[in-house]
Amino acid sequence: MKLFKLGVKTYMIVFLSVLALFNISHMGFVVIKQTLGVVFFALILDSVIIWLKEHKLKFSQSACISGLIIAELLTPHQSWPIYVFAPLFAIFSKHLIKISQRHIFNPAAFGLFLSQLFFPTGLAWWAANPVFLIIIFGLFIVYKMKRWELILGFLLTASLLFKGNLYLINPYFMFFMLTEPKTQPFTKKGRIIYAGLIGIFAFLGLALISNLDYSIFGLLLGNLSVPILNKWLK
Amino acid sequence: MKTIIFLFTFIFVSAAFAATQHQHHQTSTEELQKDVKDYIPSGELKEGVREVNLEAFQYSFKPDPIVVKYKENIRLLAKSTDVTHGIGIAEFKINVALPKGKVKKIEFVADKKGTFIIHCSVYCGFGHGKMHGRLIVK
Repeated sequence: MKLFKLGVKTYMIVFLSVLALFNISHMGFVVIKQTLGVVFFALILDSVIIWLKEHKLKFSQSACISGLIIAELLTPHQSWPIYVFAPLFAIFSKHLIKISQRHIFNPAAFGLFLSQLFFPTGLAWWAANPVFLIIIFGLFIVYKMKRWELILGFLLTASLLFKGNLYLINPYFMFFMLTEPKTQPFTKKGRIIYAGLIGIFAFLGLALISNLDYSIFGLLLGNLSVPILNKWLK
Repeated sequence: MKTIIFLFTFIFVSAAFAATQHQHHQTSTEELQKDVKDYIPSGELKEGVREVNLEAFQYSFKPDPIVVKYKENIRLLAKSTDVTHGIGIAEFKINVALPKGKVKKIEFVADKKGTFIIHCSVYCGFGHGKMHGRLIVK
């Protein structure tokens, strides 16, 4: 069927948009304004940078996904600089912080992390509902990407560490952020270790750092381990 | 073409569902606004500061709503009774993590009138996105 031949990024955009719409019920329309604003700004900024580098007008799906994730995690009703700086940090990290032509950090996670450092903001993860829908969408994305090892590696480590608090494993994070393709190791073995490391770093983040999101913290440290894993497991 | 139609239908159905849910939400908010004047301020006044004990647990805050008077100095003594939670009130630039069992003191001036949403700012489980409380400044 033609529908199943769409790219993973297209599915991600559709699924994340559907999640945003579903959550209007308990968040109000303010989250749609927030989502449209952040996505629009991320897309424009990304296309300006692409135009400066390649002299081509292009709107990338990855910038749209980063914008959607940032908007869906940020607490609503904040002052406007947060909605500008979070996508700005994300898109700059994507284009500027690179090793071997690949960006190191998950752009959305990087933007949110710096926003948490500079502004007094927590992450509401308001679109991380309903869980059953996230699991259905997430399993489909992982099936399309064929990256089961990431989910298994993360689940195994996080289950061991979080033990009685398994509900702290965030399905939105696991399916839509952990699976970001450009920041993963090249080999299957590398991806298992990478996912496991993120579980460990997230656990340490929860135990040691109170004002930063522990999943985001774990993911960024995990991203840093990728060049080492790629070199080690070549 | 079929793909586009499918995707549009999918998003449209979700939007329609969300809109019906939002209507219900709006009604509740209107009901709340009507009764704001009837709420009694939470906690107690101690040397000119309104002190409110606030508990966070999966997936609520207690008391909800917290009711204070405009221009009052507020001191929230907040704690979590189960896992780590957070208190986020964007309009008052508050973002404080609440590790289980520790009491955190949060002080601010209620210098804006209205009903403000208190979000849990640390992912605390499957119901995290719906963990809200309200701060009413009247």
